Amino acid sequence: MVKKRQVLGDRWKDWLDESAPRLLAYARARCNSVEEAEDLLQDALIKLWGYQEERGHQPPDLPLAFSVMRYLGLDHGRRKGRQEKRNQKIILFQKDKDHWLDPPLEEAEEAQLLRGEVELLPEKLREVLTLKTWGGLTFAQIGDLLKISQNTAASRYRYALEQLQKKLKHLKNTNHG
Amino acid sequence: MDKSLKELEFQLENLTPKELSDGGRSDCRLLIDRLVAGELNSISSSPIGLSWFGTAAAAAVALGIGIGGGWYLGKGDPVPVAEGPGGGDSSLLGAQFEELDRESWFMTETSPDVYVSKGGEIREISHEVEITKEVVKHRESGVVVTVETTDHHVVDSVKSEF
Repeated sequence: MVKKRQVLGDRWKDWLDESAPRLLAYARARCNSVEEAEDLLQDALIKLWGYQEERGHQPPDLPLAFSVMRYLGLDHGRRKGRQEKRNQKIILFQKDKDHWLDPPLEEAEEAQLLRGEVELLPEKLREVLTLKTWGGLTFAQIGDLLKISQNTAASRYRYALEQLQKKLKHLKNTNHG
Repeated sequence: MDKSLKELEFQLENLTPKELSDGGRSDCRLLIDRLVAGELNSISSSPIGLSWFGTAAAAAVALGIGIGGGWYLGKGDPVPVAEGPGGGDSSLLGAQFEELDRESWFMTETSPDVYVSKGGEIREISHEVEITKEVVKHRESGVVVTVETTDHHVVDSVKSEF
C-alpha cells in the first residue's frame, strides 16, 4: 500500500515537472504575479486529484488540466473585485522584470521585444496563443476548452501572430530609424 | 500561412515558459505527498472550490424545486434530489454536478466614499454587485440547471491617488 502510494506520488511529480511550465505560462497569462500563478497551480492540483479519483488517481491529460486552470482562474479573478485588480495592475507595472517567458540567449534583443509584445496582447488573443504555442494544444482542444469553434480559435491565433508581426516591425523601424 | 508568420511562430516557440520557482515546486511536491497520503480532502481543501460547492447546493435546491413543480416529467427513474443547505455534506452534493459554463459581471459600481480611519489613514469604500450565472449538469439525470447568484461586495482599500 505504501509502495503503491509512493509510485502514484512519483507519477504525479513527474507529470508536474513536465507540465508545470506550460500550465504556469497559461496561469501567468491570466494572473498578475508569479506567486498568484503558482497558487492557482496548487489549487488546480487539488482539484485534478479529486477529478481523477474515478481513474485511479492517475495524472490527468493536459486539456483537462488547462480546463481546470481556466475555471479556477476565472473564479479567482471574480473573487478579487475590481479595486484589487486595479491595485495589482499598478504593482505589475512596477515589477518590470517579472516576465513569464525566457528568451533564448542568442537573438536576445528581438526575443525580448517579442516577449514584451506577447504580454501586451489582448487577453483573448494571448490565451489562444499561449495554449497553442506553449500549451501544445490543438485548435480543436482549444475550442473545447474556451467554448468556441476551432475556426475561431485558429482565427484568433492567426490574428495574434499578425498583431505581433505588425508591432515588431514598428518597434524595429523605430529602434533603427 | 506566409513565411514571415511561420518564422514568427518559430521565434515564439523559442521563448521558454518559466519553470516553477524552487519554493513553488517544493510546495507542489509536498501537496502531492499529502494528497497521495489522503491527508487532504480534494474538495474542501481548496479555497477556490468552496464557492463552487456552495453554488452546487443552490443548484440542488433549484433542481429540487424544478422537479417538485412538475418541471421534470418522469422519464425512467426519478432524479435523486440532494438536500439543500442545512442538510447533507456539501462536498458530496457538489460531486453530483458538473459545471458546464460560468460567467459573471458587475451590475453597478457607485462612486467610492472617502473616509479617514482611526489610524489616520485615508481610505475609500465602495459597493459592487456581482452577478454570476452558472450552468451545471446533474451527473446522473443529465438535467441541466442554470443558477444565478448575486453577491454584494464592499471594497475597502487605501486611497492611492487624488
